[in-house]
Amino acid sequence: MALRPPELFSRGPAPLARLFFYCALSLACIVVDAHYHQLELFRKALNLLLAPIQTLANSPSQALQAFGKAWDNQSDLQAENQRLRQQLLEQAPQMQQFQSLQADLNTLKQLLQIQQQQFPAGIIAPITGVARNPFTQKIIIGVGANKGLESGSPVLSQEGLVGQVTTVNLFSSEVSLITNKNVVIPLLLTRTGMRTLAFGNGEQGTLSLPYVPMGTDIRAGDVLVTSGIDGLYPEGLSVATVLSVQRDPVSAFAQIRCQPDGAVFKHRQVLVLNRQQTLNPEHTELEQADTAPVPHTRAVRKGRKP
Amino acid sequence: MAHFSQDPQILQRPVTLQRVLTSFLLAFLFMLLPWQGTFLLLRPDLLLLLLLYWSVHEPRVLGGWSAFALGLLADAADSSVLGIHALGYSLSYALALQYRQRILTFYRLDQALHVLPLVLLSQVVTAGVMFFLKTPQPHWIWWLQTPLTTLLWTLLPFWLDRQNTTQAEPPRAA
Repeated sequence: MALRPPELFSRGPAPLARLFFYCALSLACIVVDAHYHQLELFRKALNLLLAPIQTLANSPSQALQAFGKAWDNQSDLQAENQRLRQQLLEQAPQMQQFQSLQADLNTLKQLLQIQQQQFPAGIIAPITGVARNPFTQKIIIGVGANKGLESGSPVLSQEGLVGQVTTVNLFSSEVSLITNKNVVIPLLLTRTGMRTLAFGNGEQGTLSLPYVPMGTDIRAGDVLVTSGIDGLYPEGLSVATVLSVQRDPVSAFAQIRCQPDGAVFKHRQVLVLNRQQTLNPEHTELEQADTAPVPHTRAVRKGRKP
Repeated sequence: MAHFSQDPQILQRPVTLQRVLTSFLLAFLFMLLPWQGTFLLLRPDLLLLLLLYWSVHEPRVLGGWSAFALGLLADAADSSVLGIHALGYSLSYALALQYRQRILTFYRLDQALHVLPLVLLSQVVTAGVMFFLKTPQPHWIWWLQTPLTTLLWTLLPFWLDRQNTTQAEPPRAA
């Protein structure tokens, strides 16, 4: 009979078993978070835990900004003020025209029994930083669930669409930029009225239009705006300008690169629009459209999501 | 757990939990600074470095759960997919624990050579998971994080050891 020496230390499971346990748990987290998006509440809790350290880490740069503001030259401020007034005056006729055009459009839409879209209201949010992750293109804004922000809301700058709110924390939110690989936007080419989809190119900071047939009339300098088909982005927001069009005879589609208009890194603030109500499927513009076939938004999205 | 460091005249005090926690808090503060662009790509992983340091020098203070928990917090801080850092940290931590006796017999620069593969492992895990999630890989400069983090290993113990040691009594003349 083998005698076992008395155990001096209680050791628990073997190190290798522990390692396997934690690795399995990590892999489970990755799968659940990346594919099923079910860990948002947990992520919010972790972010809440980190919030005080984040505030502390942001304070030096904020203090520096405040310091810089205090030392702004009065003549500079006056010049800027004058420039802004001038800009306002220059835009005033267009604005007045816009109001009458909007009224005309609404009347016409009523006659044609097309559902009218109200441009949603929004809140102005300060940009507090860039997400510290070299794999994604995201910015952090200083407004969260405390101001009633919702995941999925479109985010604009002065020049155009910037992105979409993807994670809402209590006091901050993450905005995925339109150059992010996972963001898809349904677009309208203003010159020809063609509808298409834009995908982000990731790190390069450009967009590409992968589903435009070879023979389509599109050229560098064309302006792309949101088409409003998905019911997420309101119609007519400026998104991008076509940079280059390459027609490779081997491929069925043209290779098109676009430059986003919403220059997010120039500004300190962005506008977050409220989410629109879901459109009544019987009255979406998709059915009224008589343009080239567009792949179904949702199917394409599903295919592209990692 | 007291043990002799490289100079046998210096005896190390057992570390307090408070000191470990403070070091991690400072690492998070460093991590959460507003990094951007190239600086973000080059930011050394101080959190992993401290985790390895404490696991090598004070294996009783931290457990495997702490590597996992710190990894999850790092994921939340970096707004990446939850579990990526947790996986890398857990693996590196387990290996550091396995080889701690061996690492401790070397001088600092040679220790750094042992730390390099551990840090690299964590980065390879991150890149691998992102590859499987079909996310585009960052600029190659990002891989310089590992040598930078390893270089810090030669400086960091210097400070932490100093905080943690007491001069032993000089041997009395007979």
